[in-house]
Order: sequence, then C-alpha cells, then structure tokens
Amino acid sequence: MLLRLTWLLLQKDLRVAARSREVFGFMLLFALLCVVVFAFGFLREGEAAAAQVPGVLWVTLLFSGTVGLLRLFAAEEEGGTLVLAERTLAGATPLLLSKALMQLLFSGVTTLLLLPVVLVFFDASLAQPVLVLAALALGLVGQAMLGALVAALLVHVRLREVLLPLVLYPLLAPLVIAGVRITVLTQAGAPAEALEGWLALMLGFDALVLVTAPWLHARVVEL
Amino acid sequence: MTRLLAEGVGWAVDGRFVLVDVELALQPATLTVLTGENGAGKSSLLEILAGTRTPARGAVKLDGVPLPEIAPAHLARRIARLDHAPGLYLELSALENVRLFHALLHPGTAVLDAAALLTDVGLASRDHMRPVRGFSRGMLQRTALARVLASGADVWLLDEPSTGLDRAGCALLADVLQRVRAQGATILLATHDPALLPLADRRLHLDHGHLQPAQVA
Amino acid sequence: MAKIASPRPTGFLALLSVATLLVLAALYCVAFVARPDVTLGIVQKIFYFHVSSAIAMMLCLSCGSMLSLIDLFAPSDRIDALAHSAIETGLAFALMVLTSGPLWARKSWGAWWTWEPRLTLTLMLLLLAAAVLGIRSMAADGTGRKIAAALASLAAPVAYLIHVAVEKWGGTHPMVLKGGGIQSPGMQLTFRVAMLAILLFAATLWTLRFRVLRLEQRLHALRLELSAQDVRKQRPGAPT
Repeated sequence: MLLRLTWLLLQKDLRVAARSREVFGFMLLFALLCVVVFAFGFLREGEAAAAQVPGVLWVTLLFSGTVGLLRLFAAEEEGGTLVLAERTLAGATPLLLSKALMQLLFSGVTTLLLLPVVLVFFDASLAQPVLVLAALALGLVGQAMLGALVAALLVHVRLREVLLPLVLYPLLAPLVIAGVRITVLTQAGAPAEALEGWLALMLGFDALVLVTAPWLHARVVEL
Repeated sequence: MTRLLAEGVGWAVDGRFVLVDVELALQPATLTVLTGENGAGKSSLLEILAGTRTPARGAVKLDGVPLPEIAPAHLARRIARLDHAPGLYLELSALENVRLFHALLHPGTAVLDAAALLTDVGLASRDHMRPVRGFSRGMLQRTALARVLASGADVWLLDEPSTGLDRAGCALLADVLQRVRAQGATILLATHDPALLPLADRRLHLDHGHLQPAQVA
Repeated sequence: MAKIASPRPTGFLALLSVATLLVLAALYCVAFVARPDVTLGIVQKIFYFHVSSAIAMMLCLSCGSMLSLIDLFAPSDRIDALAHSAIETGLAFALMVLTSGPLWARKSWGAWWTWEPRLTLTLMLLLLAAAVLGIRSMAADGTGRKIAAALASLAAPVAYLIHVAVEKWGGTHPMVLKGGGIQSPGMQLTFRVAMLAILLFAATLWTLRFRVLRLEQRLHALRLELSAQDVRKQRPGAPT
C-alpha cells in the first residue's frame, strides 16, 4: 500500500516535472555555475587544480540540491493540494517518500552530468571511480531524504528559503565531511580499508535518516 | 444521529479569539448554509470541522469519535473540502487530477469513470485531457467539484463553492448538492450566493465568534 | 488556571545565591589557589571555565534534544518550555566555549582557530541550536514548536555522527584530563570548584529561562481568555 501510493505520487511528480520543465534545468545550470565560480575562487596559476576536486564536487552538489529542495513542494503549494496529498490511505509517508525519490532522481542525474565537467575543468581523473560513486550515492540518498523532510516541515514557514539551508547544512555535515574525505583519500591513492570507516559513517547516517524522517514527518503534519 | 458535532470550539489568531464557544450539530442528509461577514471565521471553522486545524478549545466529533482519534487517512475518506484553493495539480489534466485523488483515497478499488464524472459537472470532453493550468476559475471549480464527488465522502464542507461559476454552473452545483444530500450526505456550505440559499435546510450566521440561527430576510 | 510559577521564587533565589557564591569561589581558586601551568603559563587558567562550559553545553543540548523528543511523543507546554530553555542555555554555553577556546588556542597553538574535532563539533552544535531556535521563532505558534522539536530530536544523533566524523578527520586538542595535566592538588580543587560553579550557573540560567517561558505561556493563556470574554461581550443580546 505504502509503495503503491508512493509510486502514484512519484508518477504525478514526474509528470508535473516533465510538463513544467522548470526545476531540473535550472538545477543543472546552477550546478554548472557553481563549478565555474569555484574555479574563479580556487584556481591559482602554477598549482595543481586537481586538489580542489573533492571540495568543489561535494559543495556544488550540496548547493544545487538546495535549489531542487526549495521547489520540491511548489506544485502542492500552487494548487493547494498539500493537505490532500498528505492524507492518503497510508498517511503522509507516501508524499515524503515520493518527494525524496524525486529529489534523488534530480540530484542523481545532476551528479552524473556534473562529474565529468568537474574532472575536465579541474584537469583530474578519478582514482577509484567505484568507491567515489558509492560515496556519492550514499551522500545523495541522505541529502534527498533529510532534505525532503526539512522541505516538508518548512512548507508553511515564513522565510523558508533562508531557513532551509540554515537547518539543512549543519545536519548534513557528517555526509559532506565523509564524502569529501573519501574523495580526497581515493585521489591520494589510499587503500580501500582506509575508506571503510567513512563509508560506514555515511551508511549509518542514511539509515538514521531513512528510519526517523518518516516518523518525524508524520508526527508534525498529522495533527 | 448527529454526524458532525462541534462542542465549545474556540479558535484564536495571533492571541485573539475569532471563534468562541461554537456549538454545531450536523445531521445526515441535511444541507446547512453558513453566512457571516468577511473575517468572521467561516473558513477557519470549516478547517477545524475538517480536522485540518486543531481548535484552541473544544472538540469536533465525527459519529461521536473525536477527530484527533480518527486516522487522517480515514478522515480524508469521510470528509471532503472545497475551498479557495482548487486542490488540483495545475500541470495535470482534469482527468488525471480526479483519478489521482481517487486512487490516493481508494487504492485498489475499481477504476473510477472519471470522464463521466467530469462530464457530469459540465466539463466538455475536449477539456478533460489538457492541463488545468489553462482553465478559467469556473472550470477549475467544476473540476474540484468532480474531485470531491470522486472522494466518496459523506461530509461535505464547502467554502464559497460558487466562486467563478456561471449561472449554469451554479444550477449544476445546486443539482449536485441536492443529489448527494438525498444520498445521505451532510453538507455545510459557507456562502453568500443568493442562488444557493434556497437549498438550505437550516441557515446559521456567524457573528462575533458565535453561531446563531440566521434571520431570514 | 494552574499555578505555573510561584510569586516568590524562593527555590530559584536560593539556587541563584549558591551559584553566585560558587562562581566567586571558583574565580578565587582560579586566581589564587591554582598555580600557573608550567608549560602553558597563565593562559592555561582558561581551562577551568572552558572545559566546565563545554560540559554544561553538552548536558543542556542533550537534555534539550531528549525533551524535544518527549514533547513530540506527548506534547505538553511544560516539557516544551523545558526543552526550549535547555537549548537556549546550551547555545549560551556554546558561545562561551567558542570564546574561551580561541583565546586558549592562540596561546597554545599559535592560531585563533583550528579545525580541530572538538572545536568543530562545538561550532556545529552552535549552528544546529541556532537553527532550531530560529525555526521556532519564525513559524506560527503550534507548527513552529513541532518543527523545532522534530529537528531538535534529530539533531542529537546527527551531532553524534558529526563527532565521529570530526574525530576521524583528526586534529590536536590538549588532552588535559586524560593526559594527567592537572596533578597538583590546588589545580584539582580549582577544577572541581569551577566545574560545580558552572554547572550550577547553567542550572540557574536554565531555570530562569524556564520560568520566563512558563510565565509567557501563562500570559498568553490569560490574554486568550480575556479576548474570549471580549468576544462574548460583543455578542448581540449579551448583558452589557
């Protein structure tokens, strides 16, 4: 029941996104812009550009993800359907899950398109692509779930455009630290064992968020 | 037996009460019209009755059970609302909207004949398939009415439902309301539309946070 | 209406007096009982308040987070006020730690700030607490409280993960307690007195904020009651 309703709402989001063609393009463009601005900020003549890749990559994903999160509930707000979508037969959880999946899809595609761009701009290559991709996947899952939760909680709050990053970024700190560390370590050619701890940390974060977010969401939105 | 009961309901905005000691009992198969000046708290009262707002005081009961004790999912199947916002996804077509909201509340049941429902509320079939973003206010209102019909709820809480509707639309709305009332639905209508007033079994006026029988002019 | 705060806060005044005396005693001990550290010199004396504040901060914030979780399970105005005041007090002590920390760091490491695990964690805790309090103040009464409670209860396990992450990241922090840096009895006595003083000071602040919040809640309730009576009076047919 939960999965079926989630799928129904996700289908709806995909359709809305396909027709409005709004957020995704901007998210991608914004991500690209981030990389360019970071290049302006960090690249120095005579220094190895590749050293900046981990930071640029993860911070860009954090920032561009925010663009998507701020518009995640736009369709609900516009048509006044939030309460209707929250009160399905399986409660409010399908809405949260569908939004998290939507965000994951957007940020996942953004990442896949962005990664080669960053590598080309900063003249780098991935030493252990599988590990880095695994870290990116874990990072995006955590960001999508926690981001969807925070976006859902803040839908009716004043100044939410300002508050969302203010709340989300410190909460995402473990993922960003671990993600950057993993990328740095793989670039430095560290053995896989050195990364296990970091991957476990990301896994732990994702597990925590996946378990608690639906519960917290239900406690807040279901009166 | 009373279907929807409000007992001593109070509602405050910014630390000031708008509704105080509201007592209301709605019976099955009745249509009640609620009037009141702008800002009298009609919309807030409807939201409290629908369980989407928690009253500052008092309680609302559906079939004798306080709303907070009813699962929100079940509540949504029993109580339908129509208010200022259409409650539709603007990028979806009328057909998709009605199907989606029906499926969210009644998953796994027989596929709804949404097209017939939309034709019923007076939407021409060429308008069934295009996104409702391009709809006029009246067409949105008709689509929203179809959504409420599809929900299968037996308590209808409508806030100015005739907004944007033309004469034919109003007649159709009146028709639909009479039909669902005959089927046993409890209807509460907040409106000033003279065209809908004759439908009322009972008329209430909200004044200074208080409900009283309206003087029929 | 339930009695919320007694007009004569005898217990609170007692707490305030004891905490004041202890803070004065701690200052005396820091100045005259504990000798300057052999290697770090006089700046080491920040340690007595710095570490105590850090512990007070951790206690307040964990209590705030736990109380928020309880408030989500079983909402009550009292628990809400307790949680909110705990987070506020925790934020105050986080500021204290982040003021005393760099002063010490400048002398012992030569830099005002290093991205060292505990300093980073404290900074993140400060940001989290500030975000929770910010949300609470921005949203309308009921929702803001719930949202803040949800985020505050999530913040504790996340803070633990941040702690794990920054520890793995590595860095240097003076390990005064574990390394046996305070051997002399004078220093030990001073540390104990300072610890007790700061903890009581934290308890005082927490109680103070809690009482203020409870009074605000009561004032709000009274105003509501007054406005309800206003509405009743304006009704047609009401006795004038």
